[in-house]
Amino acid sequence: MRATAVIITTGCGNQRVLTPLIAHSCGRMKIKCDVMRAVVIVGLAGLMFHCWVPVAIAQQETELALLERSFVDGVRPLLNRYCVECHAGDDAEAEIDLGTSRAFDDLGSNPELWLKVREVLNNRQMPPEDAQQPTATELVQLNTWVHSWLKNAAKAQAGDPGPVILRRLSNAEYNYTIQDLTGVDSLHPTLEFPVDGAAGEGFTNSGAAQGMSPALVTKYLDAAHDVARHAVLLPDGIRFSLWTSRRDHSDELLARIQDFYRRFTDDGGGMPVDLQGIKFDTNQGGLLPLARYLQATVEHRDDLASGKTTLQEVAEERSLNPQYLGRLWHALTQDDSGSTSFWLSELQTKWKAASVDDVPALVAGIEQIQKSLWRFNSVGQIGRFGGPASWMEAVSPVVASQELSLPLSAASDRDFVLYLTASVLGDGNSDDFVEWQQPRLEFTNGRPPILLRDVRSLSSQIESLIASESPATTRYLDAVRELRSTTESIDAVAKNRNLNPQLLKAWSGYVGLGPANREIQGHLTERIENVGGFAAIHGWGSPQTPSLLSNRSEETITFSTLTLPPRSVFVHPSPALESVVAWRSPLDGQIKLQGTVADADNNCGNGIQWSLQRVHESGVTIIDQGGIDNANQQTFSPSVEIEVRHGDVIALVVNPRGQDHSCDTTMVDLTLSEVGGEKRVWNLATDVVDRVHEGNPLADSYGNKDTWHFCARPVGAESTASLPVDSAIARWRAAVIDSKAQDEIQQLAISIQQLMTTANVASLSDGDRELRQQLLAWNGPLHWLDAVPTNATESRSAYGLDSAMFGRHPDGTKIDAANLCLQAPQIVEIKLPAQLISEATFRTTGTLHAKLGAAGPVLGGSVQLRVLNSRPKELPVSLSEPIIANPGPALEPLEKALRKFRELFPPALCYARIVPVDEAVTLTLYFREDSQLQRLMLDDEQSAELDRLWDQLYFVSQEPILLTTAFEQISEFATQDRPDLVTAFAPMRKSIYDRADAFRVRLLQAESSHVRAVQQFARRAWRRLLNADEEQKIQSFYQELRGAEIPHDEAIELVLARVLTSPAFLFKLEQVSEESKATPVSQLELASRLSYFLWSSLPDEPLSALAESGQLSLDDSDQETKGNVTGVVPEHAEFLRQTRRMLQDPRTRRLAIQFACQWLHVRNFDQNNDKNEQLYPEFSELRHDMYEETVRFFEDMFRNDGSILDLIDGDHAFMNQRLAKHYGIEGVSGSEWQKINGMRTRGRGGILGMATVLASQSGASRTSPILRGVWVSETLLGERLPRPPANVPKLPETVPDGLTARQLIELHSGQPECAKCHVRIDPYGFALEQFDAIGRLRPTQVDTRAELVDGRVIEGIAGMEAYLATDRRDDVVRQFCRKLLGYSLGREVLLSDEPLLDEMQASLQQHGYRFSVAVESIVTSPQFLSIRGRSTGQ
Amino acid sequence: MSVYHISRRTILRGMGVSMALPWMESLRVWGAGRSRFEDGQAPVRMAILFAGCGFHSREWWAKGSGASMELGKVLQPLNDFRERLVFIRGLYNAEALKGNIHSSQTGNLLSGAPLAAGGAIHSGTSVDQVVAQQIGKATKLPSLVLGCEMSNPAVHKNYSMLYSSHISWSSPTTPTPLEVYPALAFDQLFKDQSQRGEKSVLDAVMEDAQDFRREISRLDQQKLDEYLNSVREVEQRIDRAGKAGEVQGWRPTLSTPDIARPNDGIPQNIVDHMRLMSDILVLAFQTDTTRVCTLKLNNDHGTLRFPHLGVDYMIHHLLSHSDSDDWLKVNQFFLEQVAYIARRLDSIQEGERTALDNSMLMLCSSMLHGNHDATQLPVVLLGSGGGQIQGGQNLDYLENPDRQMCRLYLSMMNKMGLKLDRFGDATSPLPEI
Repeated sequence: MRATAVIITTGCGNQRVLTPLIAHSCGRMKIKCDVMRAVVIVGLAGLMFHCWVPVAIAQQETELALLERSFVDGVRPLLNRYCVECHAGDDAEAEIDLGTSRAFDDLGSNPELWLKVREVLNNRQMPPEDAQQPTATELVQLNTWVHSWLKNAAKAQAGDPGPVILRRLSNAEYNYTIQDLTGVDSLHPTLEFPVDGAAGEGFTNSGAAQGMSPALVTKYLDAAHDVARHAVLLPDGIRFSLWTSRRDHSDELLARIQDFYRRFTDDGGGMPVDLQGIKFDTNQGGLLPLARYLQATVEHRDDLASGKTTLQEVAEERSLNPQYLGRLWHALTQDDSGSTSFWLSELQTKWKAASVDDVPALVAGIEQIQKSLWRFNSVGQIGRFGGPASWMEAVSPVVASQELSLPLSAASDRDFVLYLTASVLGDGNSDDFVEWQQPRLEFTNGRPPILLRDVRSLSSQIESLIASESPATTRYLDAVRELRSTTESIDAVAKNRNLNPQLLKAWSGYVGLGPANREIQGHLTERIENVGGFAAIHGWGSPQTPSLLSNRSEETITFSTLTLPPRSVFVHPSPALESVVAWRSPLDGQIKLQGTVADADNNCGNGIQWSLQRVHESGVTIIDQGGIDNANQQTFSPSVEIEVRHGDVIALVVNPRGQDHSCDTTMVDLTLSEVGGEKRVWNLATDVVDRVHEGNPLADSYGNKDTWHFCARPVGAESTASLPVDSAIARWRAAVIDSKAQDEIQQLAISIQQLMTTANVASLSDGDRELRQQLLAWNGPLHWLDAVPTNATESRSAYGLDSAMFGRHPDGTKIDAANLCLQAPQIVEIKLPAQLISEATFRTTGTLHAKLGAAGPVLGGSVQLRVLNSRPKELPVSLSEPIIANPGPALEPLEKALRKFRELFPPALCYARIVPVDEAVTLTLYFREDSQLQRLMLDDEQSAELDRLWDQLYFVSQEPILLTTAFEQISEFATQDRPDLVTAFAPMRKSIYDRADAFRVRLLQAESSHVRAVQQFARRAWRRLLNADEEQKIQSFYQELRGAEIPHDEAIELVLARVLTSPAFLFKLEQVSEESKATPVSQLELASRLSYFLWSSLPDEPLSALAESGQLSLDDSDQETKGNVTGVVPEHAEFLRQTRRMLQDPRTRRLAIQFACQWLHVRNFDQNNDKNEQLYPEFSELRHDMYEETVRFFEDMFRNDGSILDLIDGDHAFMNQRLAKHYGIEGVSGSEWQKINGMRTRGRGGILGMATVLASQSGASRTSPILRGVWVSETLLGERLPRPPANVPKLPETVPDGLTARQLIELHSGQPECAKCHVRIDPYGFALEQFDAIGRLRPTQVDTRAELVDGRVIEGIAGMEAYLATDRRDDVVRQFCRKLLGYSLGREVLLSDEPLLDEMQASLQQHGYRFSVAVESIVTSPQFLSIRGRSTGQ
Repeated sequence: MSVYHISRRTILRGMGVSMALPWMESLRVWGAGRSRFEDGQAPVRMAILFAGCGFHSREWWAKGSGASMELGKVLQPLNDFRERLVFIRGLYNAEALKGNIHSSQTGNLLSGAPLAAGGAIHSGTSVDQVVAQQIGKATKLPSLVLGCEMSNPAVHKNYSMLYSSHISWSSPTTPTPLEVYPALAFDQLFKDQSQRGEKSVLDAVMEDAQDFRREISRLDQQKLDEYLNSVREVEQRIDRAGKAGEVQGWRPTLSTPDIARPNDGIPQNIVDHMRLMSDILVLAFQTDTTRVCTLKLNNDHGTLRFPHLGVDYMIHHLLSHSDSDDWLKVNQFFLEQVAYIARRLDSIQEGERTALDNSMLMLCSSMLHGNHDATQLPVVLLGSGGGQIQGGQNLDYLENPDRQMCRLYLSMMNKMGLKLDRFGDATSPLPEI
């Protein structure tokens, strides 16, 4: 039922505007179409035979006269008949006074009155049902007159900017403004501000709703301080950071530099280092991305060669650095045949044949070579005298000689075979005579080495010695027993018994029955005091290690890396000396032992070894032993009682482990308790801490002299082989000590002899097998090696080599007698006996033999040597291993080729970790080494950028000042152990301090630039230029703070805080003219209006630059003639160009949130907490996606100039997988957001199918058709529902079983007093009932058929959308325009805005409802462009 | 450290002329009664608690008086306090009957003022703020305004929902922002240190504002003045910081908080949230940090849910449209908050009386029950205002032609030492109170 077509009969230009209103009321009033048509024509004929011509005052007056006449003739009588009974006089209901006494002029000046009348007429509220009703014709007459009158009144005021109450930034605007000002998107200073209220058209950007209070001022102040704390003072200005501390600001810059590095390099590649027990990766990146570059050259090899593509194109396509790609390409393709670059030409050959699959192999090959061309140093102490010069250091694999070694170990009883190999480098072998110097076996247990030359003869001698002496074992054991009682020397006993004296000594030492040396040696002699500056710490030792310390205070003392508990004793071994704390027994009897060994230096170190020993006349016994790792501890408490005699020694020995003594300070505690007797107790700590300086040795507290001894002794000096547990020898020894029967002792001796000589090893027990191994080991406890005669004899042994091979060049020349000289290539196989190799290492030095020629030594040749434990199949040349060559000019081409390769393929381009971690304390806070990167890849601009970042890092971190502190710490720390290092650090001092001084000067110089930066900041923050006075005020405020001794950084923060607390920041201040007339706002104010409209934030630089320079123009003439006519704004107008640019900007998302979402009451839906968690557990996660969908929908519409009609019946929706699943849409995968078309048939597309809308207008656990209906009616269509009657009946107390939400409501709304409204709202809700309370489609079809108040029947969301998009299109568009206008102006839409709304609506219709049309209508309207004068009323 | 100073005083003097407080002009006040303080008695405290959407229509009642008073089920949690409460029936705000529902019934609850509709905001200064502006200088904070539900930024039925979210108004155009974060409310009470230089910042900002003020419209000047007054107030607070608000001869029983600062953020659970806010109210009175507090337990038109009561299918507002047992449960939960505060206050001995005796604790809503009936308001008052109010009364004004809610406010202000000729639509206090 559309009456619109009929009334365009008067031929006037303007009815278009009127018709929707009439059509509207017609639709509402359910008057039959033809009647309506007739009435309208009659009504218009009577009232409107004129044309409205804008700005034609005379005609307006005419119109007014006509309105007056029709009022007097037609309307007044109607009012008198139907209205004045209630609406007249002082008690007029609802303050609508239509009293008879009131003249037209009086009523006519009261638009609010007629607005109210229009509303109640539209609503059919009046006259009330129980009163006399006007006829349909009368109603239309009244309606038409009211509409015409209001139209006329609106036109008279059209374009009025309206009363815009001073607006402060809403919370959202404040956030966005701060984010745009600082560039830090994560700042949300208003998070805990009071929630803004809404006024005007329902938006929080309306001044009326924006309260101010001390609490809010406090929050503003706090927020301003907080934002200011994010300022980073740079060498030449201010930047803002996500962080607030200097440390974080530095780290942020560090990360920026690392990001810069990452643009050119690969991650990974750190070398793990174990730094005194703490494991680090040396680097986190900075690697040359070799694979990617090689891949590119291989893949594009042909196209590049043929010129089909260029290096530049390849680089661009693959995001590679063109410089390096070119360099690499050149190296791979240049003719290198003339040079001796062995490696490069080999690489070229491989590369030419390589496919993409071969790239990893090419890379692996290059990486192998890199290892021999470059070395990495630890960074922490670069710069100190004697320290490394750089992190990555070029090295040459070419050496004159090479130390080679191979630790020997094998499964027991198996001979060991080693191979000496010499490879040739492909340049012939004529000069390749390798001289293996002094090949030998070295032993870790202190035995002198055995030359390889002697192995063969030695082997045969020992074999025969063992063969002859093993069967005499019982005799040796008898002799050992005799030694216990005899006074004769060992030699004499041996001689008497015809035994090998060396062997007897060894037997005697091994079984430990002989008199042991109970002397204690190596006492620490120097008293040390005041260690680490603590008087409580003193002890014995030397300024260096080893030492013994005690803490006599009652407190834990911490200094350097040490933590020393109260009342405790510590030892510190040196690399070569073990620490020994010894107790000499003042008693004969039994004692129990217990104690603790604990690391006192938990921060570093590799742990220690310890042992608890008893030295008795009959030998040394290890009572207990162990090892602790860094930061660990062990306690010991042997279960057996220990027999001691007067003078016996109990020693606690701490060994540095691996000769690494750093951080080995170890807390030791030892308690010895007498069993029986006087039950005395000796505790090391109690006895010693207070008296340690009384002497060394020190008496115990019982007065026994020389009880405690603090000593050091060479590592391994008392290496005591322990007898295998549960072996024949252990039993034999026990039997001897316990003086068992002779027979028993003898029997055991025989079994020992048998196990030495038996061939049936497998039958032995574990203990005896171990015993056999010990006894027969040449270098074992019986020391067979020492027992053989020293004269060499000829031998047929298969071990070692023929001694004749040694001492001569193959050409017969004599060389060192112990050396072996052979021509490469060669493999020499050498077999070594199993009994010899325990604790042995094979060592030799490899060189090339320098042949003497006529003019001196002939130098030449190049080989590679290896010592292997298995036979190699071939003799490859590995470029990762040293090359042995004789020095001299012949080397030059080799070195040159290496250099070329090295420079093309550095393993790393920069030290990307920046902060060194490879020393416990570091001398470098930020280490810069990126010369390879600069050389190979960066252009000037990039280098400058990198320099700037580094400069900022140094500046922000104040590194030069920090370094002085760091330097003091490290030099003090390092020289504690090593006074010699003083000289290493001393030369650095001056330059470090000079640099710090220079930096302080620079800091001072930078201060003024920071103040200038704040002034600049104020210009942005206040969204206008500062006048000289204001600039001066900022300057003097800063000075005032400095004058109050507030430091620079803090003062700058306060000045920033002041800028952000100023009304100029917080309020959108606009200047007004003194007159009453509205005047245009300034260009800067206009720029702000525009940016706060579209972006909820301040203008960006381009916009403010235009405004500042006065170029943000509309044509003046254009603005003059705007009025309420749709003017076409010339395309060149910069203002509109900016508007369009800004609409396309991502910041328009904020318009989607602040305008669209707020209008639809779904803003902050992601925090919606209304849903029952039991019923909808998924909701709390989904609500974010739901919200995002809505925001994206509008963002897309706004930025891509979509049709605003899409909000009703759009066919697309935005989804990710999770939301699509919720909606039951298949085929959307991933967390990425996608625009999905074809959604209308699926119940989505447009806002009615959005979960945000459906859920926010539902209850906690079920839908509410009423809420949804009211939302459609009020929010979407802009209808005003009357106030609900007082005493609405309550809903039933409980929901009757089986009733749907719809049935429940129908029950309620069926009551007559309710029905009046509910027939208008409920049907909308019913149509949406297929959606549940969180917007899902219900699985089963429910009743979604609904009859609307005008009799139309719609079904489901599709029916509703069709209805809204056709019958109600104009209402929806009108509401959209109204809301957008209200939002843009920050006030309620007034009657005087209606012409503009008419115009927007018409313009939208003409231009396909594009969003930009609405925006442009608004921003070019006088409402938007101007401001009321100061003396305007209201 | 040297003292720095710019001419803040001068500026303030300058401002005094241009910045009269408009809502103070109409107030005629005869100073605070000093007599009780001279006796070393504790000051009277006033707390106003608000619950939106009314109560169960059949269970809000009281019969009889004193110890034999019977209470409806909603009021059961207050059973122990029968002899110390005043049940008041029949009071109303005439202005709340105009306009629409919810917002327009709540925004003037504590002032009786007419409300502006459409896009505008205009109410009246609420009773708590009138008191705060008069006696607030004596304590660290003039008043404490708390809430357990965020306000709702929208316009509902032609009235801003600011109205339904705010019962306390510091001026006719400014709802007092309420603190919903327990931690921040705690900080308001006890965080004293202002940052170094903060006063300088405020001084400078005041000076700025003076400059701007000349260039803007009169309407805007009023808005800017709200800001300036607030800045000045903050400055005065900085001045007052650390100075105890003690009454001669009387000291609060607690000088520093005896509970820890609550966690940041808003508690997930409404039970915890209300409990924390109640504790803070009690703490504020016990430490005499303020003597005026409003606690809005929820918004009128609120969306709280009550999973802990097993009532989680409807939000508060929708529940209020039924008279179900669940609605009753929710009502009782609200009343338990009142009882909790009363019990806590009653456990604080202040001389011969308890802190509850020295307080007035009023609970009200903007409608009697969920169907928007504001023709009579549910009101209950606990505590004797320092022995000035007779407990155990059951008052019914429904048939009284002068049954303005504002008469009660006049009575309450009276107890706080303020004697006003009129307030809102009332010209005389309720004689019984």
